[in-house]
Amino acid sequence: MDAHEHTVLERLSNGLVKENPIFKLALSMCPAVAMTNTVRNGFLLGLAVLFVQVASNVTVSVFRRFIHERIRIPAYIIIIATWVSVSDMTLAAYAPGFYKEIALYVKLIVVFAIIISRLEVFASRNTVWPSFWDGMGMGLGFMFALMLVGCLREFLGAGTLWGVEILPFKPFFFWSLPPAGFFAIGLIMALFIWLERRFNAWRAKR
Amino acid sequence: MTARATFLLLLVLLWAAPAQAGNIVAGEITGEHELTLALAAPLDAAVEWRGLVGVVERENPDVPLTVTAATLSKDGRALVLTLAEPVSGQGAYTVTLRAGPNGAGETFQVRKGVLAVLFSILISAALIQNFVFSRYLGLCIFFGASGRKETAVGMGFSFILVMTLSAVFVWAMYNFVLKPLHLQFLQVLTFVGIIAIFVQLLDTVLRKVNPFLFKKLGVYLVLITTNCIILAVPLILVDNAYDLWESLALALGSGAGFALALFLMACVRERLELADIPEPFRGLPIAFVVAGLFALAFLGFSGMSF
Amino acid sequence: MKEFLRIALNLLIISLVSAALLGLVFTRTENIRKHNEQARLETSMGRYLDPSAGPAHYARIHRYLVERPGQAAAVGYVLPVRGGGNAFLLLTPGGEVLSATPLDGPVDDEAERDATLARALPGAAVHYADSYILALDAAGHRMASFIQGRTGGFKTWVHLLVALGPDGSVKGLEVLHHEEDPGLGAEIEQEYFRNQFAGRTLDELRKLGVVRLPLPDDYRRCLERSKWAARGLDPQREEDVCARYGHEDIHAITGATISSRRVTEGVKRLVLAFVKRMEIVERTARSAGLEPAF
Repeated sequence: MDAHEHTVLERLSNGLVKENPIFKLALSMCPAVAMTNTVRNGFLLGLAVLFVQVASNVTVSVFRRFIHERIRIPAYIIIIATWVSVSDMTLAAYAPGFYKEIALYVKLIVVFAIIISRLEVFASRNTVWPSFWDGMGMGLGFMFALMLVGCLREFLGAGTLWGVEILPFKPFFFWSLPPAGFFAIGLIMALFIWLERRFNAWRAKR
Repeated sequence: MTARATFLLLLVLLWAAPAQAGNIVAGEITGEHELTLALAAPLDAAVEWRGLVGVVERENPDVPLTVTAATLSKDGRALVLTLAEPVSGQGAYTVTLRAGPNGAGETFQVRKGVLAVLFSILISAALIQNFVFSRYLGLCIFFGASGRKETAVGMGFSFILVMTLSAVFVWAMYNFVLKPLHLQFLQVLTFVGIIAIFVQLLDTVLRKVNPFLFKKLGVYLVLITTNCIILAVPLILVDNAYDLWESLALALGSGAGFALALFLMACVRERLELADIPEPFRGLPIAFVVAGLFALAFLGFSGMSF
Repeated sequence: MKEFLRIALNLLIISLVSAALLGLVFTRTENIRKHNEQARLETSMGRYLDPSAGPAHYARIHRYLVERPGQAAAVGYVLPVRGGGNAFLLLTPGGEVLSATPLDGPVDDEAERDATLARALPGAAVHYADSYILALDAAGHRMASFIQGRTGGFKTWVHLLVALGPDGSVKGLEVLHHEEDPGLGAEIEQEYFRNQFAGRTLDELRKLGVVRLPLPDDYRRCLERSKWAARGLDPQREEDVCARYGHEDIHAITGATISSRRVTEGVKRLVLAFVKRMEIVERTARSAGLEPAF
């Protein structure tokens, strides 16, 4: 395994599991609560976040020497806002059906804490290629978390997955209600912690 | 002044539309299908007023609403109009009242007073549409700053301050620059730009002018930039075409609602630390479950209107 | 001071570059967005037209509220006239003609109409209200009418497209845009809610209410028509089921009674006002010397 492949794998696993934006860092949970009543919604928003995260990461790491230290926060926000507006307008033009479902949250991606925190922590200190993969890892981790919560809620709330009927009835309507997003995240988070404990204990024994 | 008199004064302030010359001195929406007019001189109880009165929505002057009954009070100074269509407190209605079958008409605008509109925007932003528990926004800061009551109060206060001031800037920027120049596509960019620069400015000024307050609030200021609510409020006020005062009411209400949510949550979380909770749930997971319970409780506000 | 200038310049350059980039993307995408939106609207409308009657062409009427200084509020209509071009018909609330003027500019989208109307009615404030679209066949007969309007939902405005048959009965309802809660109010865009409006006559619509009763299973199945083929149901039998329930009140969405009620009230208000307004427009346009193209 050469050094490059090593970074790729490390960045991806970091975003997906070790520093998962939702379950581990607990950042940007607004969409994780409001937009996860179906798997599809989670996937669509995850895709938009993935794009913005990667694009901003790359932009910041390219221009990291140009951006003045004292104004880096406003500068990062302007960069994120630009990419968000670009994806907002592009989606509205080329994928109106897709856009209609997530329009409310696309603009708010600007203030998702996960994006700016990756710029500050990673992209401003690393070269383009690792920053790209860090963005991919974080974006995929975000999408994975959103879809996991979406799976749980859609299955329990509507008895379907990705709109396909699994159960012929709706088991618990409660899980379709927006407040259930909080419960779902709380439960999955606790499960993550529990699994991690078990895993660490098992490794210590060996 | 007695409590009752104060209450009545408040009611008049909240509900009275500007007085117009004529017999009708006040009009008010009193029910889902009901308007009540207050009259300066008593009307004749023998006249069938139903045929002499007309009501239209201000936006649809060409479609009169159906008046099913016009009931005069005993002293003849209040006329209750019952309508077939539902009326809403948000709407504005024009009532035409003729003095007799051939008499001259008098028109009167029935709508909420300015203060009542502002009050309803404020309450709705703070409770009914509470950003944290009903719109599910601003959660990062919400979970981050609700561990201690003291932090929660500090954060809530800074947030109200930044929110209100930046809403005024954003409103002015949108209405005087972006809209006249047809640059609406730059709105997200300019809004967050304004907020970020504003926060930085406040940070610098506070550091120099009032170091004590800075020590108290400084840490929260930077966090505020990445709060969803701070961008959601400008987007909402632009969508609803609010004027300056309405924008202020929205900002103040949202800030107060967020501060309330923080405080409530901090109260619970301080106690949770002493509780015997299954280990994997300690910390954030249980906080999420509590937030879910709060959100369920806040569902009870939904559909209310003032 | 020099340091401060450097920082300011730095930030200025970043802002200018991103503004320029956004401007470029905007000019590239805006026309495509408008075009796609139009195409989507026409697809939605096409669903309610009889394909055997041949291709339809659309006559678009836009309604405005006009406020002129010192005068009572008036209602204005942008109408297409025979032989191309458009005219503006200004009426009193009672339905008397105030003026009828030909329009000399484009009226395709809202910004264009605002500019054209500002030239035609100097000094007046115009507020866009809603749009009516008439689908006409080759002979100029009306195949269907569409109302594009909005009503207050539970959270913000719900934008609706109501399809009407030539006799004024409802053919269908489409939800164009809304911001209701996912899982609750957002269900207004589902077929089992929207299709409950299909087939209501004007008289039924006047008395239409909303009930908080669970939707019967067989009714629900026939309302979700698009799944017919996949489930191997007999369309004819399902149609009979719908016809049996079709004269009852609207069944509210579970957990979203307010959204259901607001949409129902909105549909009623839009349709009844449309019927009344079209009568007035058809009556007055000719007497004002206009030849409307419908």
